[in-house]
Amino acid sequence: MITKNTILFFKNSFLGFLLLTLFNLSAQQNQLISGNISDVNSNPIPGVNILEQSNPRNGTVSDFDGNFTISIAPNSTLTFSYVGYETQVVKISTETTLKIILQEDRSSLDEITIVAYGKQKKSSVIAAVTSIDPTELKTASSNLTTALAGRVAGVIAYQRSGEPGRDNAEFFIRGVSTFGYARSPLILIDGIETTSTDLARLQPDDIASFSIMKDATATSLYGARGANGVILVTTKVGKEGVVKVNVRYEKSYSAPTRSLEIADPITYMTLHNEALVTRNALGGRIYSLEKILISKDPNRNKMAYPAVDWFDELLEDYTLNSRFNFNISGGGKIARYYLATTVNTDNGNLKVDPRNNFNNNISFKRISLRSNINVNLTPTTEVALKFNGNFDDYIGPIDGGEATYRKAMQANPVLYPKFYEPDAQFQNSSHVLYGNAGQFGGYLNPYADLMRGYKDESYNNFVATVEVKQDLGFITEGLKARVLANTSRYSFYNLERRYNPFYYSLGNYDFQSDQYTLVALNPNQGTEYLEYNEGNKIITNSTYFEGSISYKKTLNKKHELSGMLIGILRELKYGNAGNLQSSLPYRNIGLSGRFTYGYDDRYFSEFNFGYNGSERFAKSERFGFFPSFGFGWYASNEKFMEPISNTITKLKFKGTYGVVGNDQIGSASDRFFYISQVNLNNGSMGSSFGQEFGTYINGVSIDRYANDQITWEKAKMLNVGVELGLFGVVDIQADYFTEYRSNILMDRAQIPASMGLQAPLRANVGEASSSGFEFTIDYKDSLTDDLFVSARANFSYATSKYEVYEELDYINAGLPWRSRIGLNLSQPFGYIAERLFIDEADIANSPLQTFGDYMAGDIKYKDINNDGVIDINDEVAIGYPTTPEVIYGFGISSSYKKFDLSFFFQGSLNSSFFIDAYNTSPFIDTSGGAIGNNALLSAWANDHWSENDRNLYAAWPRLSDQLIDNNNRDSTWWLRDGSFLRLKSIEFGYSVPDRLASRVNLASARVYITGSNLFTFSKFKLWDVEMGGNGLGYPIQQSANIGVNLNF
Amino acid sequence: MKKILIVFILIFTSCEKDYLDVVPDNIATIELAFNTRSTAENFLSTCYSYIPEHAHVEQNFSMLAGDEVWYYAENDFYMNNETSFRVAKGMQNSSSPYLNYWEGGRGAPNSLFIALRDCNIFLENLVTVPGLEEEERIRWLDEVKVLKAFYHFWLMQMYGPIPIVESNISVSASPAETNVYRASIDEVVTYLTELIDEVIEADNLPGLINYVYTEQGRITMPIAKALKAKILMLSASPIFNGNKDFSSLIDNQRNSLVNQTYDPQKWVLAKDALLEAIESAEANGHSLYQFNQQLPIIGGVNDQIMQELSLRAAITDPFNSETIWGFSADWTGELQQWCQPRWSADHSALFGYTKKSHAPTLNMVETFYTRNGVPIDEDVSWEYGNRFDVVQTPILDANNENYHEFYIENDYATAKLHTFREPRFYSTLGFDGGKWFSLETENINNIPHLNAKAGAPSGKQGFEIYSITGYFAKKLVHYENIIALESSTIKGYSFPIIRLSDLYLMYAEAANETKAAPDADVYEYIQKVRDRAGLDEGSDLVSTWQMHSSNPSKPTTKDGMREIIHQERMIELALEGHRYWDLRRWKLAGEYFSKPIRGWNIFKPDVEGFYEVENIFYRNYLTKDYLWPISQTELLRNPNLIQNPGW
Repeated sequence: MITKNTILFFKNSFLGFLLLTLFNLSAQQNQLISGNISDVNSNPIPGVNILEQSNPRNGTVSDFDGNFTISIAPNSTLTFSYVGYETQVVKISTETTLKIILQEDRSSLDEITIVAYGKQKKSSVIAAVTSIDPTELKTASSNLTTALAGRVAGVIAYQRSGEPGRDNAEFFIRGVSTFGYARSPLILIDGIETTSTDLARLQPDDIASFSIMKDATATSLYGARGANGVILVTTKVGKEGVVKVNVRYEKSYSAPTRSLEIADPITYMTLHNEALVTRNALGGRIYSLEKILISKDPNRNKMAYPAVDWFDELLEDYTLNSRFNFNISGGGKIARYYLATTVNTDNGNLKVDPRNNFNNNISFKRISLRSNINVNLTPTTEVALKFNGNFDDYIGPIDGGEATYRKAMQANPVLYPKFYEPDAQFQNSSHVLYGNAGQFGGYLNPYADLMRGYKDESYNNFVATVEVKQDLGFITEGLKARVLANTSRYSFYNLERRYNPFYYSLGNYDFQSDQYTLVALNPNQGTEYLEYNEGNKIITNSTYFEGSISYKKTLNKKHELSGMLIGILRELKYGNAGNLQSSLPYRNIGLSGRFTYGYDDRYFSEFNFGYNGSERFAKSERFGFFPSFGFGWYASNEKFMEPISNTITKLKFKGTYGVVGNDQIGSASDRFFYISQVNLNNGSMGSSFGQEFGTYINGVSIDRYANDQITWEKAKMLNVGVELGLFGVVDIQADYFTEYRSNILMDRAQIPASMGLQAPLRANVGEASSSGFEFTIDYKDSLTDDLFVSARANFSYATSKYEVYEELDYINAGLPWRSRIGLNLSQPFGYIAERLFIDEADIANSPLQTFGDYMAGDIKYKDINNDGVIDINDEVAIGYPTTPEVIYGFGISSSYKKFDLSFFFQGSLNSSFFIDAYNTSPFIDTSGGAIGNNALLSAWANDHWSENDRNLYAAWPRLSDQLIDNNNRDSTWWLRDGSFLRLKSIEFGYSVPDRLASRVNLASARVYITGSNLFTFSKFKLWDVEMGGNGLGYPIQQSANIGVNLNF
Repeated sequence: MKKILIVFILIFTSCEKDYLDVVPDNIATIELAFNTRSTAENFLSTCYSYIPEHAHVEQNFSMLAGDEVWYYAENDFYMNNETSFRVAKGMQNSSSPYLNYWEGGRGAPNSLFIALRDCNIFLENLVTVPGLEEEERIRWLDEVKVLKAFYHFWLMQMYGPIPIVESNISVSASPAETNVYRASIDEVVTYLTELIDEVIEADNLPGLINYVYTEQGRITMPIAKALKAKILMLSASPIFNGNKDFSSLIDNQRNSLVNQTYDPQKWVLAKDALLEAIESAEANGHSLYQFNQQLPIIGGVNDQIMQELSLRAAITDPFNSETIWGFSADWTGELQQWCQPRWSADHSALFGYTKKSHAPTLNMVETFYTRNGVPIDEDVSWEYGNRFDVVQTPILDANNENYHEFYIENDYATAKLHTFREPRFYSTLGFDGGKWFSLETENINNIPHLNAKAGAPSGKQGFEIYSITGYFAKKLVHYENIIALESSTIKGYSFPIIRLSDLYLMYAEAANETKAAPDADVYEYIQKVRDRAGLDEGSDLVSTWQMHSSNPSKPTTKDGMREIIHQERMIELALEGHRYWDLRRWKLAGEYFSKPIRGWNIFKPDVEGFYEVENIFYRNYLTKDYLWPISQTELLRNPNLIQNPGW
């Protein structure tokens, strides 16, 4: 509803605005000018901005054939501007028709790359920076982070959950290169540090540039914060010219890529009975044969003989989402503006009971407002004001969407229905008679859990930035200064409104009369009214100040010099920190600089440094210096390359080396490593005394021992790369990198428990290395006048290794295979499962397994150290790392006349995950808070060891109604290959012909349909393989989108 | 331009000094704990807080890890018995040991080494505190010394030889310095007795608590002396006195951790310490508990019920005269809910209070004496062979009196096993047909009884919450509890860590071991316990055996007397967790715990079906089970530790 109203509102006001402008125009004595604009090859150029210089509010745009008409005051001057072309200024005297030929702008063709604290000519950049066209990030998801995988070389990304609002992909620049606390990159939006959640909320429509900083020269300016890589995003600003309005609306259908398959209730009962008998011949059945028999009858009394597919009862097959983005930009000589608003609504696919008058389904509304205003105060002073507000409102079930999926898996399908139809006694009951069992009503009824209330969450982030740029050319040519001040205010709360469900169980059922009676299980505990539970509140504010001066000069047209110094101050404070130490401000201070020298557009060099400190370390360890340097050679600009310059249009070699730090070495609550943290009045560490136990005296606890040596992680990074352009249509970039991370904070592993420490001792003793390469190839060509094709592929490989890791002394203990040193940072460990045990004799002749009882049909492990016992010392590294080593993507975009089609594949290689044996164990209780019996996956029902079918390699071992610890071990039995290739997105669009569009006052219009995650190639079939071990959670979504994009 | 640069750099370097100094001076550090009386008292409280919750069936695993009680399930949603029950079922392991009091975890709330470190911090830092008077300061120090000895003792009971934590190793010590050795049993015992002797000689501890409403539960002199006696008793007992099973416990310095020669002198040391403890306790007003209140019951409380309440309230009356060391009430309320059977509609409705699952085993039931004060298989007048027969009450004795009038429901079919037993049988156990006196009882002639057959209020009714044996732990339930819909009361009590009858029986045991044949010294204290239990009326145990036992001279031989003392301990201290430690101490756990766990067929609703003896669980108690395993991880961290035999 909001979306529609907003459209109307803007439409109305925009029309009003247009009318006003028209009225103003007609009031003047004007002359009408028309004309045609083309390039040097006489190709018409549509979309050229035409402005009356003295009256910048008067302007127009050339149409599809390059034609325009404008009404102007006599003797005015017109400017013609278009991106990539030199702006032309024409003084109008008497002529009424113009023929304008725009020249290509050489300097603007030299693309600009956004780098740390500034911009650089792309040709002179020697740092490893990937910039991506923001339109590449448009997907059928409203979460930007899900678009990163496979689109950006050097980013390792994967998504584990599809729950609205919780579906951020995890992403790492050049993989994970530390085993310390923070592995995620620093994210800066318009220079302001922010969270991955804020990045996820960003609209591709609003992004001007998106860059990934990967090596030392790119990140060392961020000093102790840059070691995990940096993502720099800038948002659009207004451009001088006519008002541009862009409206995009999308409606999207969203459904799980793959749903779990559950065995039917009859099979469930049969196999649950088998699980009991097969473990204990005297155990008896849990379900009578009569119950099983009657349950097969579709006409049975479903209250007395329930058979519930909880997934069906809790979940809808699909849901509908919508996305709306509106932005308006323009401006004149003095001021320019870019205003944008986004309203996205993502819904979950959870059911709602019509008898509740509240919505417990996930509804995630995100409103984002952005206002970027640039004002020229004087010809040399520019002020930029940026305001950005993100407002998320989440309503969802009390325990969240993921828990709903998990509970559907955990509840018994045949003990009770989701609710009972009232019997005679409870005919007039005004509440829902939720089903349950036992004497306490302590069984898990996920339907009641879902329907009992809802959670209200709100997240607000408001960012205000003011930036002043001063050109100091009057002191010396090329000198500029800039100051920026920012504040971000963040608030979050959640609360719950819930009732306590009334539970009933079947008292007795008379088969003859088909009458049953119900028993109220918790008549005194249930409530019919909602109760209120206050939840978390988080309030933070941060302030940031940045000042810089820069200088740039070209000497003798050959020597290009530049220098820049930046100082920053940053402070973050928590309003409800919980304890004194956390309440103290988090601060950073830093001074950084960049110095570049280029010779003749052929040789480039660069020196960068960051010198900064953070409050969390002892005085002597507070400041660090992080230098880096690099060299580049633009070989194709050499004389000797000229003969082949049509073939090799670009050839550039570059290399960088430097040191960067990471000061996020403990959780946010790990402050001040150099002082101990104690609680001198701890209510949970005391004792009570006295005849009537009335005197409780609080106690004392130690949460951290002081260590004044602790400091940041240090990363030494090397990058070598080559850029190659062929025939002007193919662009290839390849980079190889190595990184050595030292000073990684870790717990001392060899401190015995007999030391009696309450908190781990920690020190900067860990070291890790990583290396890899990235490769991008771009192809862009107009094959005919009507057919344009571009193709893009990229490939990122990153691997890592523990170099120094304090662990138990496995080498001396004769257990070298338990050591992590030399292995990947996310290398899984586990047992080698050989097969299932054949029989008792097989067990007797095999090494003793020490994980509780086991029988024939349970997993037999390999005795690595040949000591006749299978225990923790037989664990070895198995499989690939859990973080994929390879992420790749490729796709093609093409347009033919007014149609365009693009598709994009994304894949991942070299990763492993464990099937969650505990949570998929059928019949056992994994629900924690209540009593449950896990559902039976069809895969296990169809392929398990049984006494009649002693398949030693069956997918599931011998059934059990109890957790069999022996089988519930990380082992090769549960290890699966995480690699996949999926059609990440496909899009088909049609642009309305401009003539048609202009008739309704549109500059352009496009309708499109998009699909995402439509199909996946993988050997793994139980759930979406990208979810890895989290397969029982909220599934990753596939979606189909229909959208319209209008430009005024 | 240079000027600008310099100004720019100056601004930032001048900011930097103070900008990052965000920590105010008075941040709390551990040293500050000893600057005021109040925080120092908090620290003292923390030193106490590591005492395992004695009424918690995991933390005090001795209640469940042996054969005294059994549960219908482990790891159920409702209960916290998983780890101790798994130990009972023989599932202990060394990769991740249950009840890991060494490292903390798997049912153990903390590593007791943390407790020891805190005790040492307290002992090292409590120097002068403003507002803390010297008298109080030295008392606190001595309390913590006794706690330090107790934590060592707890670890020693579990692991045998342990590292002595005399003082703390610095946090900045190198890994090699942290690799301590396990001290031998004799070294540990010497250290602990010296530590307690320091306290005894200094004589700063109070003999009894004066401020009972604020300080009850704190360490007193009788506690210190009793603990010393228990430590010496453990060192004199077969498990650690020349136990050849532990001959392989030799560390990499060739130190034999358990002595290999039996030393009878250790019993003398234990006996002396026990006498000292008993004298100290009695001098400070401790005595065997006698119930002497009048209760608002129609008909008044008769002698038989008075007798029963003396035995029951000795446990459930908080800090009564018999309690030498009692533990706070934190978990006794919870424990009682697990023990409480049902006999009324209100009980069934308030099922949370009446979870009736803490089930004494038939093994335990058979341990109690007959009415005549001798074992059921020795009593010549008690038909041992027919004990599982069903009999109909009333059953009159030779004097035509109904001995069971206040014990068993009239006109009720029950097992013969339940008839003509000693008073402690009826005060300790609830059973099918057994009466259960409490303040819910309105009339002495109408005491409610239990029905434990399937479907009956105290029997198995659903999938969960039932007694797997058909018995209930009456001893652990306060007679003042009232469970009724309008208002329920569950009275917490101080769970006894050490009580006087424990000391009396240990004395008899130690004395017997020091002599060639038992004499009056041996009989003196065990007789007090039997007298309070209503046995040997007007006579003594020697005559009792002569009159009633098929082995009449048993009390006159050292071996016979040893058996009598053992059984007396198992009866008197039943369900309090002592049997588990005692059987290990006597090296008899292998014999007892390898017997099947038995109970009635509680799945049956009828008399005939119910009174069939069922074997619930078979367990093989191995030599390695006498000592706890040290986790493999800890052994890897510290190569100087050696694993206990068999793990």
